[in-house]
Amino acid sequence: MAGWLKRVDGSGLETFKIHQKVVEEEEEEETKGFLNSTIVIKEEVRYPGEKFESSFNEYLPVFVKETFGVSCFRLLPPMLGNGQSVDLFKLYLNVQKRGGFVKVSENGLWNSLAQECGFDSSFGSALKLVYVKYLDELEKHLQRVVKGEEAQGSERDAKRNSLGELLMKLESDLKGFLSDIMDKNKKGGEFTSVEVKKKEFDYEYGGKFARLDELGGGFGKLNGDVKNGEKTSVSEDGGMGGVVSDNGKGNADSVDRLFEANIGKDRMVVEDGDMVLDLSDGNEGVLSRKRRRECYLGMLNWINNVARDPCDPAIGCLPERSRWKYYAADIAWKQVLFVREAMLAKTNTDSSDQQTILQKKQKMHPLMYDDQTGSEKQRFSQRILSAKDPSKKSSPVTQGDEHFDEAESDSSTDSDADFVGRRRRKKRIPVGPHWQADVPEWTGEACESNSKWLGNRIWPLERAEQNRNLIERERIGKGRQDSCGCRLPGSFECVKFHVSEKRLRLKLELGPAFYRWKLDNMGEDVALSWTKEEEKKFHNIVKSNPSSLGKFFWHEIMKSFGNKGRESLVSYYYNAFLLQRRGHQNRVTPNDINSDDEESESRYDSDILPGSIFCSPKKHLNIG
Amino acid sequence: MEPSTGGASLPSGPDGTKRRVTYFYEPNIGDYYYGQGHPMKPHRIRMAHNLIVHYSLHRRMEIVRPFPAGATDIRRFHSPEYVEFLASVKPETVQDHTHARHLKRFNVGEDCPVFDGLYQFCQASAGGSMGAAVKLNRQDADIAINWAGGLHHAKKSEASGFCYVNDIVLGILELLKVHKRVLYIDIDIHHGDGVEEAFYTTDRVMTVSFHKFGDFFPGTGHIKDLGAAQGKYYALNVPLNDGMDDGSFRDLFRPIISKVMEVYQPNAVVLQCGADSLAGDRLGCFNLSVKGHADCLRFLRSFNVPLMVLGGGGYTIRNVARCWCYETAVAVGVEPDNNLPYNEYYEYFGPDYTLHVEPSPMENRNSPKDLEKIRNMLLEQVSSLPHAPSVQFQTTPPITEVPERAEEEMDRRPKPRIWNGENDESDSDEDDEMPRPRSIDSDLTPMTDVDMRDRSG
Repeated sequence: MAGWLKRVDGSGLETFKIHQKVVEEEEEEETKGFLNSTIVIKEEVRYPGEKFESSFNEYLPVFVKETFGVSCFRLLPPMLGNGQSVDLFKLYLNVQKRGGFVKVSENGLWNSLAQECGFDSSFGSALKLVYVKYLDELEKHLQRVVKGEEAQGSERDAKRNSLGELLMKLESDLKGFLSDIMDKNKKGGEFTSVEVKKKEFDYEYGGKFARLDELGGGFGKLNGDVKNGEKTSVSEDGGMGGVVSDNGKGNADSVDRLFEANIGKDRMVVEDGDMVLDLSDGNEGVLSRKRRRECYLGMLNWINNVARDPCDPAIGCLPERSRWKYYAADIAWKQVLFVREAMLAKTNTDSSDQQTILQKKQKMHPLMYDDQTGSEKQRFSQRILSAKDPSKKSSPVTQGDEHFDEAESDSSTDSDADFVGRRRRKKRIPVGPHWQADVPEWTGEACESNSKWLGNRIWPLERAEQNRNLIERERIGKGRQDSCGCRLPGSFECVKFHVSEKRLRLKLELGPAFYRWKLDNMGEDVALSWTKEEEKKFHNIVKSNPSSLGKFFWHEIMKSFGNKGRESLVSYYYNAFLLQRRGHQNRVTPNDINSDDEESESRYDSDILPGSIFCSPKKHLNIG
Repeated sequence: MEPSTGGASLPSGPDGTKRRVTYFYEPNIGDYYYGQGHPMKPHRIRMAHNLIVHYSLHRRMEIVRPFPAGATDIRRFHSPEYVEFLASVKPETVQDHTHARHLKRFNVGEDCPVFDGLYQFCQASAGGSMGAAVKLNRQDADIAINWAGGLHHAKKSEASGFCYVNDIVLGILELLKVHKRVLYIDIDIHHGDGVEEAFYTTDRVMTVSFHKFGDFFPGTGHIKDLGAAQGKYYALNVPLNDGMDDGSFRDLFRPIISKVMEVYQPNAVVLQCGADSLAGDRLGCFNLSVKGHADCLRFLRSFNVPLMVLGGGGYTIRNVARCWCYETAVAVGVEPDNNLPYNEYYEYFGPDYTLHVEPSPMENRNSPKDLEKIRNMLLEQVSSLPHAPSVQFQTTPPITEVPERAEEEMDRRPKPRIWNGENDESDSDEDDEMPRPRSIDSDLTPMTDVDMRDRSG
């Protein structure tokens, strides 16, 4: 879109124009797609109570053309001798008020009628002529419709049948109109949609919300559809049935259906959309339809508010697009997205595509997003963000979202409200080929596995390696005996003796497996390959870098023992150094032991990133 | 009578006690080092192995050194760029321009540091789990163990929570070559998000995770996260609060898993035995004893379905070693003495030097009411699933359970009496050895391995 760069520059007016055009075009397309009634609806929106007029005006040219055919040209609107044009609708109404063409003619009311229509009374006969030429046929036709005479048929009638429904509606509208529903409708809130449409431009204009422009494409359609929905309620309120309102209903329903389908398709994002789904369950009645429409109204009101003051802090910032999917469906802008997506889905009808539009990572302009480096990065930032970092709550939208979640779970009368509900879900599982494993369909045929995976068997030993002279072996699962003959049971010496004795027996039994498992590199024996000096140095380095000062000994150790390599240093650390220290603890401070003690535990305590696995309640470490 | 050293030659049958067990152990695993102060310590796997052999448990198993998984194998789940990065990044080159960009992208840095041998560590972990899967696929074993596996947080293109390569997903993908449906169960205190996500949209893998939820890493695992698309309702999440004890856990685990087994009828089960749900874990906040933790394995073992047993979290390493050693014993059907045998790491287990540790006297913040609510919710959810999805129903002949007491008693006979002291009075071995869920078993009409395999084609 051409408008992007400009918008980014903040030059609003230009953008506004472009968008206005875009939206208008959308509107037009929309119009084409729908039945004529859509146009009717559009007109009607201008002022309530004129619904009938608008459908009348809409219908008349068609009717005229149908009735008189190409052979007879009728100018619309008709003009009188003085060049004044006649409002056919007004004329028709006034005639009908007085009982119809015949009645008016019989009673000689044409002149007064002309006055009522805003003409000089001398134009009475002229009006009569106009009525005969334009409206008489219509009047008769409508009467026929009412009487149900329409059925039988000349070809022309059959042709007209296509209009029949429209006529029928006209008739009923007429009745409704004549029964004076004007006042009633005046009160209605149907202006909103017009207003919304207007505001929508304002809204587009708000450079701050440039990101929302992506929604723009959907707005035109959305707007049209919602209008239809509202139209329905108008008709219902007026107590009129008829085709136009049915169409309206149909449209509203189709939006609803799309909305639902979309939600169903996209569960993991929409979980909270249950609300909407619930409403639509068993939705035969008008009531439920109305309730759903209220959902849209909320959404429209939101757009309205945005339009009124794009900088209103209560609105906050729209989160980055990569995070949209983590928001619940009960947020206005998210709903807008859904509707838009539904509309797109309708046109694309690519049902095989499991991905939502949101997940397709379409981008309109790279500058719009600062997290453009790829899907992984987006996930990363999300992950970090979504961690329990209280500072993140500074974003108003996030706050609003959380508030919403909370409100939802609080208000949900689910049985789980008190337990499960109070724990707010903060993360959602992304769906798409970027995240899921590729699981093949089950074919019923097992595939061969590569036998390399069988690895290198170490136990049991090959027959040739087995020690046949083994006399005595320990019982499986045997532990140590409670008593021993040592002079000081439990002392360093005692333990050392028994460990090496046990080790020897194991070595005998395991044979080559003892070395294959590197058991020779387990335990304090590891220290045997270290000189006394080296050991001392190791200890000193650890000692001189106490964790309390935030120092790391490991770096220095790696430097000082460069010749040893990581493996042997780690091995010494776990097998000798820590083991010895644990031995000490066990005897000196048995109530304060720590097998995981490393000099520096504080590193991760001090600067833990939000979202880190370390963000866990600090635990008492001296158990067991 | 001592069984022959050939663990793999042990007969296996529907008796619920004897299982052919293969255990994968990489001898170098203990020398990988995440960095100073990092709680993830591969050394714990070496400690567990040391206890295992000192308890002589190896005699009942086949023990294999895993074949390291290659980049091609790892790419079966992970994205090529991510694998490429893992294979090439070195602590010395972390600051390089190309890598610095990737560090952030792949979430490598803080929780998941670049350490020396990182890729080899991942290869060993993944190789073990894939090997375990192949062992089960080939029916060479009934239970396959890989304590270096279970790294359940790793995502397709992202490291997370100390996990880089998701060995579980790779293992399950391997299992899916032969098994139509695989059940994944996760008792790590952290939600098994990586596995859940990987199989979120398929019904060929059902994931069930028991975890602490609420202000806790990784933040996923809400009870209402059910899966999506084809996989909808095939992800189950059991959100728990601090202080879960043995009783509470068991009262959730057993009914839920029974129901899942009954309804889903998996052809193979993968159990992630993260030991950070144990009492006193450095990062965890549950209060499970080793026995309570191992009860999950004991229960699953009674189902006679090929079972892969993996490690996972666990940050108080002495307890991790205890737990995984004990669970290995449960797998091979041995109840080890509580007094630890003398071993090279003996001092790590002081001052009590026992296998089991007492749970801490902490408050269980899961009220019975909450737990019941969760259980009912989930049971209801599972019940609504179609039985054995996308497979024609076949009746399997009920197997009358023949407890082979005789053999069992023979195994036990040489047990000396001296050590049988006060520590063990609570667990009569008979109780522990017998498959507990008899009623459940008969409800389920457990299938023999042969049956399973017939079904899976």
